[in-house]
Amino acid sequence: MVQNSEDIMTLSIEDANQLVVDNQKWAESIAKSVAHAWSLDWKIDGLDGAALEALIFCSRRFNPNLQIPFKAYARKRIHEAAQEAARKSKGWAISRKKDPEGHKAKEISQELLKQYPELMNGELILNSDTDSQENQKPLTGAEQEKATRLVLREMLLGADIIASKQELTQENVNPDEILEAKRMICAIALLEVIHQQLLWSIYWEGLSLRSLADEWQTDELNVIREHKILLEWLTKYSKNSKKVLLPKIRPGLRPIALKMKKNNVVGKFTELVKEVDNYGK
Amino acid sequence: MGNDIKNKGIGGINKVSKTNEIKPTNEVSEVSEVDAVSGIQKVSQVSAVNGVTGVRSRHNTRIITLEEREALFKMINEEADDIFGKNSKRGNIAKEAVKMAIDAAIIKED
Repeated sequence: MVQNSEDIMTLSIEDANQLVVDNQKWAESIAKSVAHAWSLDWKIDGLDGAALEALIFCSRRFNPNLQIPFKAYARKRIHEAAQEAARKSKGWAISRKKDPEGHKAKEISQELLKQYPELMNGELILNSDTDSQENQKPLTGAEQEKATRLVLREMLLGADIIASKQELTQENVNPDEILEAKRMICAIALLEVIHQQLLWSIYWEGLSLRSLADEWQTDELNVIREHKILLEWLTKYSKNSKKVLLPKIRPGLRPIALKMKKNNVVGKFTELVKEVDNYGK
Repeated sequence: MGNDIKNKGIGGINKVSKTNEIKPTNEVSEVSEVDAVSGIQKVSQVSAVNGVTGVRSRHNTRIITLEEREALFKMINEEADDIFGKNSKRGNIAKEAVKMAIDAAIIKED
C-alpha cells in the first residue's frame, strides 16, 4: 500500500495493475450488460474501452483500508462510464432516428438508473409499506414479491413522469402526447409545494431520492415513502380525478414544508402551468 | 450428661482445626502475570450482500440475477397493464424503459 500526498492509502501500482487484470472480464461483463439493455454493440460502440478506463481509474483510487470489496467500490463507476460511452455512440444516434419510441424508452431508462442508483449495484431496494421498524426484518417470499411489485410500480410511474417531461421539451411531438404531458403537469400542480418540489427534484433535476434527502437534511425514508405516496396518488388521480383527495404531508417533512411556506416558495409545477398557459399571450 | 449426649446421637465436639491466618485488609494479594496479547486476526472482507452505503442495513434489498429476469419482466408487464391499461402507448414505453433499466443491472459473468 502507498500513502499519497492527500494522506489517503491506495494500492501500489503493481497491486493496482493486478486488480485490473483480475477484474477485466468482470468490467467487460458490465459493459456487455449496458450494451445489451440498449441494443448496442459493446465493442463497436466503445463501451469496452470506457469500462476498462473506469476499471483502471478505480484501481488507482481504491483504498483497501475502507474494508469495502473492490467490486462493490468499482461497479457503479464502471456502469456510469459504460452508459456515458453508450450515449455518445453512433449506435445511440442511429436508434434515435430509426426507432424513436424505442429510443425514448432508452432515454427514460437512463434517468431511471440515476433515480435508482442501486440498480447499478445489481439490486433493488424494497421499502416497507409501513412507518414501523419492519424494514429491518428479512422479508418472506410473499412479502418480497409484494415489495418488488411496489418498487416496479414506482419505476413505471416514474418513467411516465420522465416521458411527460421529455415531451414538453422536445420538438415534433405528437399533440396527443403533449396533451397527456400537460394533464400530468396540471395534476402535479395541484399538490402541496413540498410535494411539487420533491417530484421536480427527482424527475426534472435528476436527483436520487437519497440526494434529495441529504439536501433537505431529513431521513431518506421520509423522502422515499412520500415519493411512493405521490406516485400512488398520481395513478389514482389519472383514473378518477374527482374522488381523490390531495395527499397530506408526513410529519417528518412538515418542518421543511413550513420553511418553504415562510419563504414564499411557489411550486415548480404551478409555475410551469402558468408558463404554458401564458405562452403566446 | 455425657451419656445423655451420646444417647441422643449428638456427636462429640471436634477439635478446633487450625484456622488460616487472617490477612490484614490493606495487604494486596499477588498479581498474576499478564498473558501475552494474542495476535490480531486478519479481518475477512465484508461481502457485498447489501452494497456499500451506510444506510443499507435499514433496507431490504433484492439482488437482481439473470435467473430472476423473467419473473421480474412478468411483474413489470402485469403492473404496467394495471396502471396504464393494456396496449397503451405510454404503458409500452414505460414498460420498455423499466425493463431496460433492470437489464442494465444484470451482469452475465462468463
